[in-house]
Amino acid sequence: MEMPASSGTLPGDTMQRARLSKLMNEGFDAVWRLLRRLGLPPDAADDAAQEVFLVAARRIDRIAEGSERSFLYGTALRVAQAHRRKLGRDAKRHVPLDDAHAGESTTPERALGTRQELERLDRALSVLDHDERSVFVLFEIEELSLSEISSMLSIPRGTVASRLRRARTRFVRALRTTQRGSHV
Amino acid sequence: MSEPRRLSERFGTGVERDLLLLGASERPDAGVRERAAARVLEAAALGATLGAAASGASGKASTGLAALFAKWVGAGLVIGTAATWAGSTLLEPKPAAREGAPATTASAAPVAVGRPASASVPTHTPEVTVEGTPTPPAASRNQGDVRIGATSTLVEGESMRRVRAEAKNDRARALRLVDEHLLRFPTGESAAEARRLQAELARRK
Repeated sequence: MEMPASSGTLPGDTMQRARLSKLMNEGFDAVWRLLRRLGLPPDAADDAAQEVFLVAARRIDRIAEGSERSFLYGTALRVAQAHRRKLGRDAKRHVPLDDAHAGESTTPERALGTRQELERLDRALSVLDHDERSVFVLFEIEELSLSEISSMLSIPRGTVASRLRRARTRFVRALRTTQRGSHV
Repeated sequence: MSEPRRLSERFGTGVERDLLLLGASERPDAGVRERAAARVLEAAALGATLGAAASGASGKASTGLAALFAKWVGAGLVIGTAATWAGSTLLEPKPAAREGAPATTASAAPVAVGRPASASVPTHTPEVTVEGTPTPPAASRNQGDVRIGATSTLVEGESMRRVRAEAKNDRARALRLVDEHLLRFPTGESAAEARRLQAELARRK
């Protein structure tokens, strides 16, 4: 039996909106953090995270149950790449955090320390290209498995592993270079 | 192919490990999520309304004029919003007017991503000690060496969050994480909870 348009769409919309709300409550911080570690400054990460969820809102009925995280992260990777292209040269230049983005730090000293350490982390990450950085951040910070990353990026697991190895080597080297630099 | 251990839990040096944990602990400002949620839900509601209008109209009007009208209204909204955004961006010298940006601009127009150019880049981090040596074995590595003094609370919090999360999934990994956590933060704020979890995990089979 064909349902009238109004009674057929409203309950579904309510459910989809509830699902979207839940998705935002549970996934927003992780998406934002991923965008930050992929090289977006805090303000850009705010905007880009919103953009990720706008995409999710448009496709909510096509996101399979259980694959929400994969969808959000996959979208975030694409959105981050687009934003970094827009930022152009500025994306490669390091953009410092302001006090408001220093996390849960409570004292000024702690906020400063957090800010400096996050800047240091992002400087080391910035030596990686987008592919290496994506794999590295998803594995080391977001704690996805190699198989999850492989299916998210649609690349073989072996390729994920080799990108991770390369990224680790370059990341560690970059960190040590900044350490030496800071103690000269 | 086996899963490699993460730098933050296996063979990373103190600095790498702590920086990665710190990176995982960063959160957006309070209110960012709420503002984004309001805009996204508003956009979703607008989309549903336009979609319902379009489908309702096309069902009733055999000529499809009403559907066309609804689509034009939608297109007009998008173009109008983009024009407003472009106007405000071109006229205002401010780098980012995010507070006033309507939700529909996120997909229709470029998002403002600028930062004030006056901010300076710190060149060193005096709290951190140097470690340029090759990765030591786990036993000698974890001797309470917290490298990031100013942010150790955040690192400790993230480390404990991982222990809690893993305790629900993988007992062996959780035990390893909690052991490392206690070695690194023996007198930390979460030490009591970590010891309790450690005992509980050890009892569990």
